[in-house]
Amino acid sequence: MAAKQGARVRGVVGQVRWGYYDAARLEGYTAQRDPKTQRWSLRARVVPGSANAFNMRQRPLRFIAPYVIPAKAGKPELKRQWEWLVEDADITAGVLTARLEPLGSF
Amino acid sequence: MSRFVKPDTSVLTLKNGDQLIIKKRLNRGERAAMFARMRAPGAGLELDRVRMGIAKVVAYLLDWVLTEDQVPIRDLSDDERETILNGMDPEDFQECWDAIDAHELKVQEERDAEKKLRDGATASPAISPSPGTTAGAMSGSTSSTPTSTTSSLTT
Repeated sequence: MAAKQGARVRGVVGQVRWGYYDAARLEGYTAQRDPKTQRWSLRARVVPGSANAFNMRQRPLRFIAPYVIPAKAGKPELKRQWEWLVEDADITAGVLTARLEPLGSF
Repeated sequence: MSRFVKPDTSVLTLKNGDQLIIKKRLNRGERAAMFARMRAPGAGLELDRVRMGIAKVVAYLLDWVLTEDQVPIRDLSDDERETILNGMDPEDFQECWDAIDAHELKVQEERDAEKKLRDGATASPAISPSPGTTAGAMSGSTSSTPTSTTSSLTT
């Protein structure tokens, strides 16, 4: 049996979305998987004024973390994004904390 | 039937197989923004007929899959999408506008039909029956707050 591993994803730009609506824009986030429980959690700074309280209360919410695969060996740059389902989100003093369920990379 | 618009999407397929991914319905804010975009600058409340098409397409369009072009529009601002749409061939733009117009009409008709059905199914008397006419009226003191609904509405 493979050992359970933790994981951590850090980034600068992210967002929480309800469908195609922005629920909050994030300016610095850490998503990490607990090595014991294998549960993902999120801690992020919310861009001031960007959180929409109504949209934040809707479900399903997705946390989106875009990333870029640089151009290499003649292949063009690729823009991709990690996505998680957001559970139990809370914004206090401009900091978003949430539990996450991974959805994958798109 | 919720009073709030959920962020559902619809996919419209154009003649050559190109696809438009659009909002199924606009909410109040989006509709207000669309009408604001239809107004010529400084023209007050008067709508500019030339701007009606571009305003509607900008309001609805989220993304597209174009077979001949690679022009990403996802997550762009309304102004950025308008700039890109203004670069389209006029006939191709008209096809997008017509498709979105037809979609809007279809969704409105569906919603009207749903409303009719709902209003018909849940029609309730304008005035509640007076206590004297209520079957099984209680004697003695009565509660001023009804704690359950009667089944007299079912026919």
